[in-house]
Amino acid sequence: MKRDDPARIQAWLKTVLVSRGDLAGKLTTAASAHGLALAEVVAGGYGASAERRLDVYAAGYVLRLVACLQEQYPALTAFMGEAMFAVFAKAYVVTHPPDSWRLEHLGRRFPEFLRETRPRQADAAGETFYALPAEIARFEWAKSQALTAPGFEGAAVGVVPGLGPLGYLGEACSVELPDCLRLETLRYDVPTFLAAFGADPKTPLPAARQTHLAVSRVDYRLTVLEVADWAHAFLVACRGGGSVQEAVAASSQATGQKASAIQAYLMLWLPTAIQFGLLRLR
Amino acid sequence: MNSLGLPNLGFGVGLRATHFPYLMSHDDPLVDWFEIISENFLHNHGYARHVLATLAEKRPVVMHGVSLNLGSYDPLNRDYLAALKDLANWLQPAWISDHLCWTGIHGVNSHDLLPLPLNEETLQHVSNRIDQVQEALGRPLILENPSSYLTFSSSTIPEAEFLAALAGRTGCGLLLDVNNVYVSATNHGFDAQAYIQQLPADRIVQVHLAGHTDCGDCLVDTHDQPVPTPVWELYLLAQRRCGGAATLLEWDAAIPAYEELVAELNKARGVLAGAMPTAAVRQAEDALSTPIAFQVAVGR
Repeated sequence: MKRDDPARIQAWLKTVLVSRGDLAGKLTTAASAHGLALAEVVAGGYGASAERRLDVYAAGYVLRLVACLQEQYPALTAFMGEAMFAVFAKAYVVTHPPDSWRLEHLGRRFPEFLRETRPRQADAAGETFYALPAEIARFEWAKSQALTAPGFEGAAVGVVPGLGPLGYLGEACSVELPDCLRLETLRYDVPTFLAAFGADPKTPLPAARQTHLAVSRVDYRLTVLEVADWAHAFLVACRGGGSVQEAVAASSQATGQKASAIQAYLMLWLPTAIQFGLLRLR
Repeated sequence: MNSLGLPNLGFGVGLRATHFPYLMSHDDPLVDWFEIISENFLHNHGYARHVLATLAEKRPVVMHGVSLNLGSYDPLNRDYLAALKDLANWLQPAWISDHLCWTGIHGVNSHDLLPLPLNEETLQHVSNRIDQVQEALGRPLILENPSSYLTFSSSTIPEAEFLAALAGRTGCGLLLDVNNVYVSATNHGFDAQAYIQQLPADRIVQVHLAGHTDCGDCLVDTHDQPVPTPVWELYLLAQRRCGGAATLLEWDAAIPAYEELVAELNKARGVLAGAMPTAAVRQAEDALSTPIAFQVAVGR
């Protein structure tokens, strides 16, 4: 490949952008990978140095994406503080360069990154302190997905006409979930903690409590509902299609509760689930 | 009227999420048309799409993209193109635009508008890709000149000449960003007015206005402040040259209230009537080019 091949120059510039280190380190990495030096690629002779010109792109690449992550994870930014958030966000951007034109996908691996990079040798209090950011990130990611995926707007989402409460449980009745529904099982009650933290940043860290959340949307407004383990299992089962009875059976198997009990819970819970945009009946 | 037969839409602004509350609570949007960032809506089925549908019933909308990756040596992203066409079929935009740049290669997307060497080889490469895009979209592409901070040793064709050649070979239109011309001209030492004179006037469909930041050793395209006087002067030249093209104000960081944004846009009407604004360029030690965080807000 010739030295001024445009594809080679693009590969060189890409390496400069995504490599770790300061500009000198990036240039060393790019030179090693592509056999090109800055002076060979970038024209000189006017105004700012070639290094300065290149750094507008190299520094801007990271800062621009960190700003996007802050926008994508505002509650986490508030919890960690901007400076600490930026440390992790920069590390994330360097570790996981964006691989999609969809900017909204930038932060999709951030919760997992935070979980993987947390200190492992902490005591109980430290465990919560280090584990909570990843849990907050999971919640915020679920919210962002629920806000943009297709929902039930414009469609009837209420009770099936002529169907009484017992009718919900008939073989003919099936459940449809909106694409915007996100089901998360968190180690902490993150929504309650964030509400308290927003009112008082000195709010104590929460105790561990497994929390099943259903995050969805109604009339373009976000809904968040904590659900019992049987309801979580029921919704998970509904993702596979089938009748209400089949989902009840799956929930019973997953939670060890009797199907008759789940049917009773369901009759009371379905109107709330419909109101929160978690499902509709057909 | 340009030779593509596309209308002069008048004076518009870029649609930003922070202005949704104003726009959804007022019948009159105060502007002639809107430009959207296409990518913000391609897979967004939430409130932003609802706002767009509402506004599209009131005013023309143009789709402005940042991800065609025209200059890249990666293959064109056919999934992206298909999504772009789907959105266009739904929205019926007045036209679709993107940039003379590349955004990524080898599967990495920088989310920046990166420069490419300008020479006969890349001219042929970009021409071929514009042809493919126009065939896929079934309409002419409108191509914007980017702001840039470096040039390449292997460049042999001035940017204005390169754009003119692309327009001639492919039939594409031009989106002349006069702020980008000023920023690049200052950074690279070319004559901004001569640049505009070299473009084929009949292909200029739209003009972009924005502000930038003077970082001492270079200008950075920040889209975060009022349009400075030298950019207004280029705007007047461009409008006189092309006989009237759609005007669009971009403001992407430190975004002001909607009425303030519209007041800045309306200065363009004044310029065409002979009132040249006096506005200095903000100076700073450093600045972030091409802010994009506002795009994430569209999904919130």
